[in-house]
Amino acid sequence: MLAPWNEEGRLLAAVRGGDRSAAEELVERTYSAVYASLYRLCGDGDLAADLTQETYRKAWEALEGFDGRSQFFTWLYRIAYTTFLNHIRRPRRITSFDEAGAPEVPDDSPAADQLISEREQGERLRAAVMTLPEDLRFTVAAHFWGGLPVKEIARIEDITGVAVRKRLHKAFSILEAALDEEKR
Amino acid sequence: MNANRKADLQRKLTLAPVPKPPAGLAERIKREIPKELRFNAEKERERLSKAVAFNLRVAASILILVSSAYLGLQLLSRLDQNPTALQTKPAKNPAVYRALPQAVPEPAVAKQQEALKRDEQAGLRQRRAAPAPAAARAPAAQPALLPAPPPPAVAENRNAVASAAMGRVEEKVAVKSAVAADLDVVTTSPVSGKEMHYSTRKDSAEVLKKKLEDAKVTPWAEVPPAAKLKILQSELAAGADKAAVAKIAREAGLNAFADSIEKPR
Repeated sequence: MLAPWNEEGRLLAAVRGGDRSAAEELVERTYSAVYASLYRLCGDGDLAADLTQETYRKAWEALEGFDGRSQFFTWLYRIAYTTFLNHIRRPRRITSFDEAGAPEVPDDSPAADQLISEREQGERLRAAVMTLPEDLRFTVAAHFWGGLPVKEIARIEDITGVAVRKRLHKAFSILEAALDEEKR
Repeated sequence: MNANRKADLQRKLTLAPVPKPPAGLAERIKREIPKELRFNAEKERERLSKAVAFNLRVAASILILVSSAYLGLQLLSRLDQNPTALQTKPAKNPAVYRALPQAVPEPAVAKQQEALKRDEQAGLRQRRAAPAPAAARAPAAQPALLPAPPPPAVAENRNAVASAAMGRVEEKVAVKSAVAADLDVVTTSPVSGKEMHYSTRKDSAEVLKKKLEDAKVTPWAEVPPAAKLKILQSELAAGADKAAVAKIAREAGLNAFADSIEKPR
């Protein structure tokens, strides 16, 4: 997912110098991780793909301002997350068939039941994460869904590693309370 | 929140399904890479130089802060070790001159000081005070202002300087006080029993002869100490018995003179 720092620096310098193949290599190295992060955030494959495309479009425009304080993927993740936030804040025009009220296809097999249960649990957890305050939500999503280490999150958020861990702890408490409430 | 619950939550968050990106997504993204990727080099250089300047400023600030803290600590520690350092440091400070007499005087100087003290007790202080240098009067005048004693090596040097200075001062005081006293005495010497004349004036022979004819003989007890000293010195020079001269000098209160006879240097 993440290129070694020297390699990443070399690629970025090449991109800045106008090397298109270097840009393609950067895409090749990072796009699946960006897609996975966005999928975990939105829970929709097609939407995640669209958001991934939009993320890179924004990244090329903003690449001049990338100061190299964090790793390239961390910077890219921040763009992806903002793109996702912008999307969910936009008024919806398309209704998904997966939403509540949509007809359910009956399946009696236990494996299917288990799968559905797990998916439901995962969806509940995702929904609970989405209800977290913005700073906690970003931290949880970046750490568990984006795979960013605490150090990188601290760097991009301009806070200490201890503060990131505190955020995670607080987020867990809220998530636990929210999930317990839902069970009742 | 207990550890198990936390671990369970972490597991659920981490184990969320990770689908593969749809086929062709990479191609779609690559197609959207702008044709002109070259960025404005000048702008980039400016940004870099700004970043470098900022870093330099931060580094310089840290250096200044650290060095000033170090200097401050050094100064504080020095003050702690020697609180009087700042007071005794200036070489031209008058405190140095006041400190000089505090050094241990040599025996001769001590004797001279003692003699001078006695003379002063005898009523000569007023006449002698005016010409005496400030250095000689300072220790008596301002004993409370004396600083802490200097280190031994410095004290020795100062003693030497002080001795020389005191010697010169004493000589001048003695000569000037004798002139200022304007003595003219005729008395009977208790050593030889002769009538002796002592005068600070240099009269001509005729004036002196007339003066001696008219002069009253002053009893030895009423003769001023300075005149007694001169008469006894002349007796001694004439070959009088040292012990007798010393005894009479002691009776006259000239202990320093008596000592110098009994214990010659």
